[in-house]
Formats: sequence, C-alpha cells, structure tokens
Amino acid sequence: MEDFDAYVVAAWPRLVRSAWLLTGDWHKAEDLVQTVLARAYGRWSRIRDDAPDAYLRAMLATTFLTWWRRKWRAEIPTEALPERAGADALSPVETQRVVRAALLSLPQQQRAVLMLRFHADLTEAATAAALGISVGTVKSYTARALTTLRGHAGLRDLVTEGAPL
Amino acid sequence: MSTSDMRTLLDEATRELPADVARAPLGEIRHRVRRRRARRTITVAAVAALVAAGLVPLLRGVPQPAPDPAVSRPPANSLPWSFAYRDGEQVRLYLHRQDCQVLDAPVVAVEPQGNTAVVTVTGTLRRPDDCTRAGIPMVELPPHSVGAGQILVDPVTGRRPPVYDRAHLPVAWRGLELNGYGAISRDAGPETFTVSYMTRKPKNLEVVTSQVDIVGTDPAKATQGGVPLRVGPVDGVLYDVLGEYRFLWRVPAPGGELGYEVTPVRLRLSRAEFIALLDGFTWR
Repeated sequence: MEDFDAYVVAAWPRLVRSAWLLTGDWHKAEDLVQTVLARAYGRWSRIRDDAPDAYLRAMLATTFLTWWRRKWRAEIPTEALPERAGADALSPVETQRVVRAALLSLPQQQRAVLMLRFHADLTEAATAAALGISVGTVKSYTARALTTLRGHAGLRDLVTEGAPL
Repeated sequence: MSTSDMRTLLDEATRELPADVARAPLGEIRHRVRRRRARRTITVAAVAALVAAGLVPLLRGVPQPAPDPAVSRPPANSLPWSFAYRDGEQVRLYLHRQDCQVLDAPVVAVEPQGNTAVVTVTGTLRRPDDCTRAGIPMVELPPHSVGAGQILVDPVTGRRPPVYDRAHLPVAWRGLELNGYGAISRDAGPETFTVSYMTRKPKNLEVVTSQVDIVGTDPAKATQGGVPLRVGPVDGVLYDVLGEYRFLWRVPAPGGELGYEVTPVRLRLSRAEFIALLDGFTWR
C-alpha cells in the first residue's frame, strides 16, 4: 500500500483544512482525518482510481455528522478572545478566528454542505449524494448558511472591507 | 457575500496550518488501521462464542420491562435521558445526545412508585452561539428526591437508564476532582457514559498525573482474551486492545448490574505497570 502512504502524505494538508472547517479545531480535525483515513485504508483499491479527494472529503463530512465526541467540560473554552484592531490589521490567525466563529454558528449540516460545496468544490448533486440528502436540501442549506454568514458582523467586515481577500 | 468570496474566505482561513498537525502521522494512521481490524475481529469472535453459548440476549444488558402504562404519557415537552450519575447526594441526569444544544429552564419531576421513581425532565433545548460550548445537556435532581436503592425510569422511553455511582468506584478516587464527563457513541452504536478524574501521582509509576477514564459500560461486554483479575476485594477482567490494558468489573445495582471499566488515557502502560496502577488505588 505504498501508494496509500504517498497519497496520504500529499493529501494530508488539504484534508486537515477541510476537517478544520467542520470542527473548528486543528486537533479534532487531525483526529477526524485520521479516523477517515483508517476507514478508507481497507477500501483503498476501490477509492484510489476515482477522485479520492472528493471521496474522502465526503467521508469527512459524513463521519463528522455522525460522530459524537466526548464533551469534556475541561475543553470548554472560557478565555475572552482579544479584540481585533481593525480589518486592515487582520492577520491570517485572526481571519481564521473570525471564520471559525462564523462557521461554528452554523448547524453542523450546513457547515458540511459549505465545506463540500466551496472547499471540496463538489457540485450540488455530488454534495447531495455524499450526504444522502436531496439537491433541493443542499440548495436550501447553502442559502441559509450564506444568509447567516452575511449577517455575521466579523465576517461581513472581513469581506466588505476586503482585508484578506 | 458571493460564492466566490466564500471559496476565497475558506481558503484564506485555512492557509496557516499549525506545525504540529502539518505532517501526516503515517505511523498513527497505521496503528488505527490495526486497532480497527483487531476490534472487528474481537467483536466477531466474541459474538460467535456467545452464540455458541446461547448468551446473545446478555449483550442487550439488563432486560428492560415493558413500559408501565402509568408512566407512558409524559408531558409533551418531556426530554429523554440516557443515564444518571450519583455523587453522594447529588444525582445528575444526562440527556440523549444532542447536536449542539443546551438546555434552558429545566424542570425535573420525580414521582416515586414503590421501588422505582419516574423522573421526567422538561425544558427547552436551544442552539447556543458556539457549539463548542454546548457539552451534553445535563440536569441535576433536587436533593434527596430519589433514594440510592430506587430504580429510575425515563417516562419518555419507558426505559430504566443506568445510574452510575461514584460510590462504586475505588475509594481512592472519591476525593479526586472531576475532570469531565462525556458520552461516546460512534457508528450508531449505543452510548456509553464516561467520567474522568485526574489521579494523583501513583507512587510506583513515573508519571506526574494520569488521567483515568471510568467508563460505564454494558455489564455483559465481551472481553475477548480477558483474564480474571482480583484487585483488592474486586473481581474483574483484565484485557487489552492492541496493548492498551483495561480493567472491567461489575457491580450489583438496583434492577440489575452495572459495568465499569478503567482506562488510562494518553498513557502507554505495560501489563505490570497497569496492574500496579490498579493496585495503587484503595478499592473498598
């Protein structure tokens, strides 16, 4: 399975990025990707010849949606986040913080749809197939998610002022 | 915000990958593959052995009685709960797993019926602003509202969820600070309840602290390859999953039997070290 290892090494960063969009936490993202890759290992001969990135990102979304993580009280973040100086001063880390807060305000299914549509670049039909929902539901989730995000103050500033974009 | 903005934004937000997650941990992924295969093998072998012995019904745990008609009509806004945890006089109920929900204005009603108590939870589940803050919806019973020997009944499901008890744990753990609680359920499997404590430094192990999970589990849990082990006055089973040792023991409880399991977290202990860890606790 040398080609599996080679694929994992090459695809790892983009899979972890996709997983972060779902979990909002890099270590949970790493855990999620590892879980999915361990499951995919046994099916690799079927996956490898047919767009493995799309397949694995769909697995990330479905695993995320059915995955009940331990909810440790100790993990609940309590510290106040620093105020940002302004859009012009936004560092990549602050951009990440704003996007994370905006994404976490969405229901998990909408987050999964956004990741598949706009990060994995799946079509509406492929997204619907991956999540086992209708194309209409994908459209509805996408529209609702974008509406919510447009109303998110930090994200609106980020886009309208064009700071990192 | 256009869809093009969204693509750019998501790319921008994930551009900076922390160094500690930037490289693919091939060794850890291989380890997970082996663990997955071992678990599957253990489960299949255990089920096969139990089928041969005619013990499959035990896998379902304590037999559940038919719902009592008197408790089968809870208020419309009642919420189902999965398990309870007693810590001295404090009894907390943990609701069925929820996708990012917190419980507002909970009300608990306890209706004693002989040796059982019907415990109804009502309240409003609300979506919080930040799902990472949600945790598991949990509600505390009024003090002294249920007795230690009473069987608790959830009127929504008609079931008798397990009531785990800190008093069942080794004495040495009773004074320890609770690190957290949780529920685990993957692949549509049943939920298991966990509580976690930070133990003090065991004298005979070179670790500063060890986080130990107590897992409330099915008493009939199959422990393929397990060996009987007596720790203090407690008879249990020592088993391992790919070198990660666990100790499972059973405790009589109202209406049946509870299973508990000790699991060291983020520690790789040898068999001797794990047994030394168990021996280091005062069990009764």
